[in-house]
Amino acid sequence: MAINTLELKRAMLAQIGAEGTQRYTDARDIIPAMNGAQRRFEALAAPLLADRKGSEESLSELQETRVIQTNIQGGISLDSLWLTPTTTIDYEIWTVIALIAEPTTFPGTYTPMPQPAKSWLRLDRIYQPGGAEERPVKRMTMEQVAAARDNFTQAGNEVLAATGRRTYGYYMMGNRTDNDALLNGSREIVLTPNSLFTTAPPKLVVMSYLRSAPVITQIDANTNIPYPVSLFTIIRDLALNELTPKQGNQTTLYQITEREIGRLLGIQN
Amino acid sequence: MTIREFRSDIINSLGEGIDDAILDKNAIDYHIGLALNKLKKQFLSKMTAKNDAKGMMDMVSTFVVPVQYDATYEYRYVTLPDEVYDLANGRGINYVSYYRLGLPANCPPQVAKAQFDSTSWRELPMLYADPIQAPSPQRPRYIREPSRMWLFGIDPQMPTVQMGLVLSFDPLSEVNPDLPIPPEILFDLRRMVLSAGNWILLQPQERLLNDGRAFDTGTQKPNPGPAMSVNDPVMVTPASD
Repeated sequence: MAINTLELKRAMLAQIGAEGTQRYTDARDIIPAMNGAQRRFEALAAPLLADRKGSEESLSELQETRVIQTNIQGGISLDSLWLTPTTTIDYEIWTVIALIAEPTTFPGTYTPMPQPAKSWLRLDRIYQPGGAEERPVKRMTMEQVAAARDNFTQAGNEVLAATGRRTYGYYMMGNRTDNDALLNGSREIVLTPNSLFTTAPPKLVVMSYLRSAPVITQIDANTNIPYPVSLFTIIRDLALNELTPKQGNQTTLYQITEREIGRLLGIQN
Repeated sequence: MTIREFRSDIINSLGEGIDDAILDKNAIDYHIGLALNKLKKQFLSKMTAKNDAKGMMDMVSTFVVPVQYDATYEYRYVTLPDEVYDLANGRGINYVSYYRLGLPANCPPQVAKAQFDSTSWRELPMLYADPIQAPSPQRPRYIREPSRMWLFGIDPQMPTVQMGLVLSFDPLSEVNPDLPIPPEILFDLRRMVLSAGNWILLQPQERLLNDGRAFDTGTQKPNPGPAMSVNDPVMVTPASD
């Protein structure tokens, strides 16, 4: 269940005794404070989620699991996933939770999208977990890629790539070209082994990720922040931290630490 | 039992079930292969020490291999199809015989007729010096090398030979092979693989940080001790090997 913006506003104003006053307006103060709270929360949670696995229920409102068609170089552009030849997704991908190679998808037949330089989010397909051929994709660093290539004990190696013992890995490549004709988009993650992903047709993988919360533009009973209710107090305090310099309060009154975020997300140190 | 079933228990015991686990499944299977080959060698050595040829029959694999001719040495040879155990008296090669089909029904099978005896390069001159022992189509001989067998006295009209070999186990050759050992040895195999895995997990792991280091500055690699004591009963090989 998500956090309603109207309820959040009431809680914020009650905390600083500004309910019923004109001191803080939605457009000038409250909405920017809420957006700032979202940004601050993502900044605090991102390093935790990058290194560790969190509780799956904590951010389930933000989680999406989609079938992705990789580009012809075996990569997925996190900031440029195409839905159609003319439109991309309208949100940002915050963090990748998991990747699954050789998934079973429905419907069964697969026709690659055109323009192999692009990464595609295939809304015409859904992931069917538990397929006989599906394999996990292990996260690795850019430094490990060359070392893992010839090591049969490392994920994504080329030694066993052509056998039934193949394994998969992925790493953050970043931006490797500004030439959209070669590869479209930046902030790319790349999957290994390279030999399996750079041969036509482009491959399907399943990516489970957290999307960034949308920018808040209004406060009403129908506008929600897609974080679980358990984060209500943290989001409130982060928003108040953005708001209360105007009152002259010491900003340390509403400091939220990384540890508190981790505890609530169930991330173990 | 298949290697996947055995590996599943190892993964669960070591707590390495997630996709970002330290121990890759191929790495675990490699260790299973190492330990299995050692235990299998011990088992086979006991059989050969007791001259119990029948006790190892369930570990013998039969192959039909073409005879080739080496123009450099002008000898005939066959290429061994896989890695053969190095047992006492060359018993990793259980038997070698001619391979011939189409015999009449009331004739003994070809494998029951002339079989190849092993010899060595040093013995060969002495054999040829004796007209009774000299290699011939009725008394063919072979000399084993790591990947091939040289054949002497072989009937030049026989294009293939049949052989029974005791092969080592290659865990990575198939996706999910059966474990080629008796079930009573599985406990020792499990103990050896878990010890190896435990030792690996005691080593500090590489950090997933892009700073070109495997360890934090100033830290020393610890000494976790041996994976298994050399005096452990499972490590002892029979004295009569």
